[in-house]
Amino acid sequence: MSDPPRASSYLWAWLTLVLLTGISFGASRLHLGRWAALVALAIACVKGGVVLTVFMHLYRAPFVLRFVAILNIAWVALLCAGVAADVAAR
Amino acid sequence: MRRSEPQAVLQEQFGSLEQQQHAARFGMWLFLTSEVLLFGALFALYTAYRLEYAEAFRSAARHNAVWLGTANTLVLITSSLFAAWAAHAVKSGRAIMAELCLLGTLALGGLFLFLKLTEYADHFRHGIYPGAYFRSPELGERGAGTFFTLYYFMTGLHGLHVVGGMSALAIMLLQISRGRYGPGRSTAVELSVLYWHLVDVIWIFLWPLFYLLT
Repeated sequence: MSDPPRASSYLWAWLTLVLLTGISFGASRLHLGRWAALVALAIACVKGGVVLTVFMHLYRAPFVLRFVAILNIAWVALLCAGVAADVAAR
Repeated sequence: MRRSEPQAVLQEQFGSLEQQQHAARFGMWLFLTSEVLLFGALFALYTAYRLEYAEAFRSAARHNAVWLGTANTLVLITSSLFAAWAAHAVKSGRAIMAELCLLGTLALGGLFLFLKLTEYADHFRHGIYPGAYFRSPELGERGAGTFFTLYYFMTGLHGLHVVGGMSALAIMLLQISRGRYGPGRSTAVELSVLYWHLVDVIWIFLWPLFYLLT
């Protein structure tokens, strides 16, 4: 993490995020039925990943910071999946 | 006077400035984890109710102005770009650039809150209040009330985080203008910006849940 990332990498990340926002909006207008939630959440995960890796510098962060970030995502995903499974199985 | 080089002070419990900075970053990530814990519980609650009242959630989401939510997504994404540039500028010793970028972030944060409050006001006019005060002849079902209670709670809590992030960044702006931060002392700016990015990430997930899944 010693050398700071180039300012232009932030611009590319921003352009990617704007593009993904457009794709997500477009996909929501297609009425994909049961796939709509999956597509919207998948795109949101990619966008979150861009913010985490580029804006929040995880792509060159020490292992321990990446570990904390990955566990954060994993626990929330596990929590929501567990709750979903519980409600769906009732 | 204004641009005398500020330097980080090594606390006695650390062996080096690098170690001290690493500890500060690690501490910040643990704090962000506690934030994820808070919002994670609400996302789980949303998951449960969404499955329980699938159709009511879809029709309730159609009552949210998708253009407002989408505009706010673009506003926050752009504010993150300015925040990232601000931290970068402080580290490379360009104080004026950092100040301008932070002003941009604050302006966009303010715009986000303005748009959000405009939307709340519009909902109130239609009787869409949180909890037991929910009155909507069109959306009479129980599920719609639950949707909007979650909507107010999650977006409201997120809004408070926007205010918190803006306060931290405003303090950073003030300190940079006083010459307190620079290439040799920038950890506080970096960590405040990190917080702002987390606020952005949370909104990235709130947007599809409350505006797109109709």
